[in-house]
Amino acid sequence: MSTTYAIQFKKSEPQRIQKLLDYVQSLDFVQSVRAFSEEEEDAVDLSISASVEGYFSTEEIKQMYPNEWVLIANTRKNGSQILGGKILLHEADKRVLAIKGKDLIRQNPNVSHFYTGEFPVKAHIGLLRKISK
Amino acid sequence: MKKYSFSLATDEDLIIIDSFIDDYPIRLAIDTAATHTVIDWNMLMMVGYIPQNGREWLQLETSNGIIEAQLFPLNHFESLDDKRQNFSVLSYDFISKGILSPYDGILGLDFFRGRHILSIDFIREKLWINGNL
Repeated sequence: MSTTYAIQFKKSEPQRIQKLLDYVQSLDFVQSVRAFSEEEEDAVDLSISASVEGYFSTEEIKQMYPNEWVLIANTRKNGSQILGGKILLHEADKRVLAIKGKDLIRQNPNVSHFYTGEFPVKAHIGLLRKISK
Repeated sequence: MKKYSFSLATDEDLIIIDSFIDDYPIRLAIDTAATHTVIDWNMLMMVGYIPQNGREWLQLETSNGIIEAQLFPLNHFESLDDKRQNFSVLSYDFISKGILSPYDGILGLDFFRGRHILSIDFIREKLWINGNL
């Protein structure tokens, strides 16, 4: 019986990733190593990869904590899209999340944040230029 | 040359780029109408940057009027595969300005000026960047 694992890297580090893949391929119990192209990657549902204790999908988190800011660890992503993770903190106020989350970021791996509600339509920052030094 | 995907599925969508401050992931909207990169003060605080009393305030002209912001040199900033040390960004409190958005700031011209070739394909929703010149 063979098992397939998907690894999603946090950053694009081609040289380091290739070294890692070469090492994995060299292990005697590994049958094959394959890198997905960008197009193929879109078709891979990473949300069905091996379960991690305490993992929740973004949809589950949205149902549990509607209209809140959530800080998660062990973030799983598909491209830019956050698929889920382990909930560290949830707050209605982004500022409170920022203050409380400062230490959690350092203490946990692969931390990220997102908002579980809908953003107002046409929210723009609209910076044009700096006018003083 | 590095390729990225984006989605402009709705009229309100922007080109969002995954970026990193000291390895913490944030989302920035590319804004070629902005002279400078601006990041939500709450995000900087979460990553560990503390506003200093003596830090200079700068004025920004925006579509919503004049806003005061502070300049923060970041230890490590990464966007579009370009890693910068001591890259300075402007920052103000988005929340106090009533900004609730799916992005944490904007990637302005100062990131690209004299350094990159940026090509945007609005039909295929792809973006190419050359890397460092």
